[in-house]
Amino acid sequence: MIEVTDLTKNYTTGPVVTKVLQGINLFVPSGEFLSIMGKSGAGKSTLLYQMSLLDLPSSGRIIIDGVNTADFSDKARMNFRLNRLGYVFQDYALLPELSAVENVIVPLLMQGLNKVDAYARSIEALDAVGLAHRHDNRPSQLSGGEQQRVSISRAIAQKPDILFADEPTANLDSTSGQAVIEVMNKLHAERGQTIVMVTHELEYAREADRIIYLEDGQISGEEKQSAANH
Amino acid sequence: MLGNTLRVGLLLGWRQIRYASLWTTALIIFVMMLTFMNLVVVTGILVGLIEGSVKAYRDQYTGDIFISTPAGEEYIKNTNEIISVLPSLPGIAAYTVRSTTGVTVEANYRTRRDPLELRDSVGTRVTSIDPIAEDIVTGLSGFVVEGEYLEPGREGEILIGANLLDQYAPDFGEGFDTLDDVHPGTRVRLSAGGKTKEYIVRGVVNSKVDETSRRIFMVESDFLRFIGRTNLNVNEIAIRVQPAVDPQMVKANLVASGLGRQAVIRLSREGLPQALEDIIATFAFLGNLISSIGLVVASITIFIVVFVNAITRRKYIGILKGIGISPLAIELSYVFQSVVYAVIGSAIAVVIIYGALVPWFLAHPLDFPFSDGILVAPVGGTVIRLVILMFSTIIAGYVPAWLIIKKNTLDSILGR
Repeated sequence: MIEVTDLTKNYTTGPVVTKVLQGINLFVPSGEFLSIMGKSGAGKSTLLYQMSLLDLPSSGRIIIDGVNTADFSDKARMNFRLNRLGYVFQDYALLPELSAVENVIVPLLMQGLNKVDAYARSIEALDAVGLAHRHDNRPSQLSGGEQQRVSISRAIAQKPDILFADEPTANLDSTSGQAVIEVMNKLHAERGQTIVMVTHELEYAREADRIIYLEDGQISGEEKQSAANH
Repeated sequence: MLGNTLRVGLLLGWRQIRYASLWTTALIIFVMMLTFMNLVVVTGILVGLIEGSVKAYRDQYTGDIFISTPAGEEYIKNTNEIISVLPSLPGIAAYTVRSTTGVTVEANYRTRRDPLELRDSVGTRVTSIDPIAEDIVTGLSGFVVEGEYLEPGREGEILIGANLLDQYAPDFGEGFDTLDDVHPGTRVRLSAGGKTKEYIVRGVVNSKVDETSRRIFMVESDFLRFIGRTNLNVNEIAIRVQPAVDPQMVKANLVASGLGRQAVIRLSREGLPQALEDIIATFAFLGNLISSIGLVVASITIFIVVFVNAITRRKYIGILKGIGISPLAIELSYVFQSVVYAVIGSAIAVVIIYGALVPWFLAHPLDFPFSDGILVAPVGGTVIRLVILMFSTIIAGYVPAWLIIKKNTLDSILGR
């Protein structure tokens, strides 16, 4: 569950102050699949970065599962990201020198799992995205869609409370994009995974429970999806 | 938590090494190898110049333990008592006794027609030896460069040091008096204590140890007759200890036997002038100074390599931080890489130094005017240099990684 209250984010370049987010108020209940849409520059990725604690807001509050994240030290934010949040980046963000399974294992070792358990959970996560058989392949040996699915498996292996996805299909062809969205849908449907996804593709956004539209740093609209759409 | 950090750091570091360019890795290891060799070898050779001289002094003159005449005495009293004890002491391989006295040696006196003409003479010391015992302890026969070595029982013959002869003067400088045209077979006159006697030069000895190449050697019976000594007391006893025996232990036994009361008993090294020890310390300092430049260059190399590596991977560093990997784990991965390069480079250098260079320099010393330079690389000193290199490497690996990793996570991910 995420509560965003009066959230603003400004970027200052010399005398120029750019207001990217202007008083965002948003509530994401546990188990919801939320899509954030908007034109380029609307502030959708910036909102995701604030909600996922990758960046600090200029003002406002972000409360995740009752915890006010404004009180976090850098180390606490890092630990919170490690243990409670998962990330899927637009360009997969896999380490090129690690195999698929090693990319998934790294955060698990950091969480404190032993090597055997971390490996087992990684294979399980890769299996969930249909890539267990490619676990020994390095990213360069995988297609874009497969890399993104490995990225998703890395995120879900951490068993996050919330999964954040920043335009996960942007670099993929339609077939691969569809496969990634199906994986996320499956996670949401089968595990009740809370997902916040930024996308500019309406077709994929409509797979979510709810869509919010951003315009000039403000929420300009909201659209709930009926069960029939799924 | 620290354990998790370490595990992740090692995994990331090791994988980066495995998939790094082979040529780049080889180049870095090569630089580290050269750096470590520079650290050990430069100092080792500078110190080895003097240590070579010290070693030659021990090998060719004093032996491992040197017993000499106490100040104010004419000779070592009760020499026979000492000599009778030596064979019974454990650890002694061989010894040689010598008597010595100052003489004037004159050549070309038979062809000198003008009484006002300066005599062709030099002042030096004549030393009595047992040719066989001396050769066992100091290998004196190996330094005969002209003519032949002395033989027991052959009297009226001498070995003359090359530094007393004009034809060898260019090798050691023109500042000393020398004898002209003296070769094996030449007759020379020795004068001491108002006595003069003629001897035939049997051979010329040449060495970088002054006590060998500026002396005259004759057999003991000749010496006693020449100076008129009526007892068998001597001035020097050089002792060679058995291999793997600590000379200090043998010296302690000699002193414990009470022999220290009638003679000065010293290890070879203890007889060195302080100036020589100071020169060794100075050369070691200079060597370390020169080597430290290499160390700085290697540290900068590591710094640049890690910095370039980290900055080109800044996005991945940001992502790792983003998904919750601790900055320390990422920093450790770069430190680990640097240490691996240094360990492999140093290991190769150690193999080359101890497997090839040290034995090679022992077999083929550097030919310096005053010594045969060797490579001095004591294991203790090498270990200290290894620790210094590792420390420098860790700093050189950590700082650039820290500089990149401390940047804002989101900026790193977005490449801005």
